[in-house]
Amino acid sequence: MVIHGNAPTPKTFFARVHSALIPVVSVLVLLVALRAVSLFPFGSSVSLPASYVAGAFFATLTRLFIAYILALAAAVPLVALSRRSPLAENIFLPFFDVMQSIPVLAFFPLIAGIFLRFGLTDAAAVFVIFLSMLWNIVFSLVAGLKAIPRDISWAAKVFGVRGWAYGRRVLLPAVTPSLVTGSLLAWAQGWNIIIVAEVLHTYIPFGTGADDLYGIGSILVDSVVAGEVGTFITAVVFLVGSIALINFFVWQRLLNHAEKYRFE
Amino acid sequence: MIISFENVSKTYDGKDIALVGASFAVPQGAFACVIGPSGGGKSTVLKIIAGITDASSGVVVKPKLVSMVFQTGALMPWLTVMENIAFGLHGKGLSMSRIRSTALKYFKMLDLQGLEGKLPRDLSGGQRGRVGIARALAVNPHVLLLDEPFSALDPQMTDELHKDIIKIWKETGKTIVMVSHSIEEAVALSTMVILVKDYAVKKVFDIDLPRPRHEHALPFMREVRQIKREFFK
Repeated sequence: MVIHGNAPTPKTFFARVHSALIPVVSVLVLLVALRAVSLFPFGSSVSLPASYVAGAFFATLTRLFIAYILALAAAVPLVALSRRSPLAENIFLPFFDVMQSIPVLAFFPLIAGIFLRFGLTDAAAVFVIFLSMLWNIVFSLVAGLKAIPRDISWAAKVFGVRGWAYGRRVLLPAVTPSLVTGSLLAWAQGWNIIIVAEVLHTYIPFGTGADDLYGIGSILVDSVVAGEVGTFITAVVFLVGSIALINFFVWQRLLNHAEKYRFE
Repeated sequence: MIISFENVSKTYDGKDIALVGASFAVPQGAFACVIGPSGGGKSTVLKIIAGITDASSGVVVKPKLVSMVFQTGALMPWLTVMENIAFGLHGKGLSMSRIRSTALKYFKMLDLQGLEGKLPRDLSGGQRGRVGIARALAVNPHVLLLDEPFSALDPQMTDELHKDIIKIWKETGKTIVMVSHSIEEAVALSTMVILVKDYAVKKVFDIDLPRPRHEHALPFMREVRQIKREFFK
């Protein structure tokens, strides 16, 4: 089971800027260092237009977003099923544990058989990202539900807050902190897998790079294969910079906001 | 009688005993205190009255509208003081203005002025207790249940809340059932004390002392001694 820690979230503007800049600076330092010791394996330095890279980034972002929504939609009924009874919990939680420990690419035969066989490369990419995100969300919801104090559930019962009203007024706010943490981890997993997800078809017989999905992941792979250092650096800087901005404007804010929902 | 238990038992999963053959009755407008050692069954009595759990056997008579003040406060951390007070009022077919005015009435009654927009984490233990009481009263219950609401408070705060509870009881005429682990507190506040021990109601004491009650007055000490004798038997 994934244990989500309670790391303090940066509260001030400067603390958040500092936190968001760390990954950008780290990557730039790494690139410069690699170049300095001549470990950069690339020859030519072709660079794609920034608009092309930006478009690719948003295509990837859209895939991640769709996968996240699907993961959320799948996680809620799965967790609801597991919470129906102690018996259901004893069956489902170990099952989730086993499923989350299986590497996403172990499902490749399934992906190849269902999606790639019919040319559904975009759906295959979304499915891979979905699988990488799902268990983080499931376990964050399970942890969030388990963290609800018994008195809170009893108070809701005593005051007649039941059914959908209980879900909307008690459960949803109560799981918000762990759901935000779980979503952050899910997106991190999603970013990790995009490079593979966008060039999945190249792993099957007769699959070529010509059919690569338009996305930042495929640009990274193709630039490495072609030895285009300029393109590679542009894509990495764009990717890291954008993730830092998303971290600053979305996740840091959500993490700060979620503190309000935390039980003491 | 607004509440009555007749030979009520409670077991969990058919084997873990929580209450055995409990019988007692609480008249309308009484202030009853349920006392007893920890794990002896007193919280089970309260949970059955609150409808949190059902009796396994026996006959329970209780009014439909019961509300409760929890030991931990059980306030929703994401709701402000005013929203917490109004928590039980939503979904009852009341208009928003009616919900607001009702919450405001109990907000003022519990002397919470200046705290309306605060979250529970920004309140002291005593203030949280008051918000819990206001929330419980706002639904206009027939019976108000208190589950050791003063156990985590300092003596000064406890004394203030004792006065508040007695004032509310006198003003509203509500029936109150409170669980406490303090015999002195029970005698100081209540009109009857129900001793629950070893999962059974051992004895019911009527407390007919004049108010205000003083802990060092002879009749007060006599009542305490009498209950203690049964408590430690």
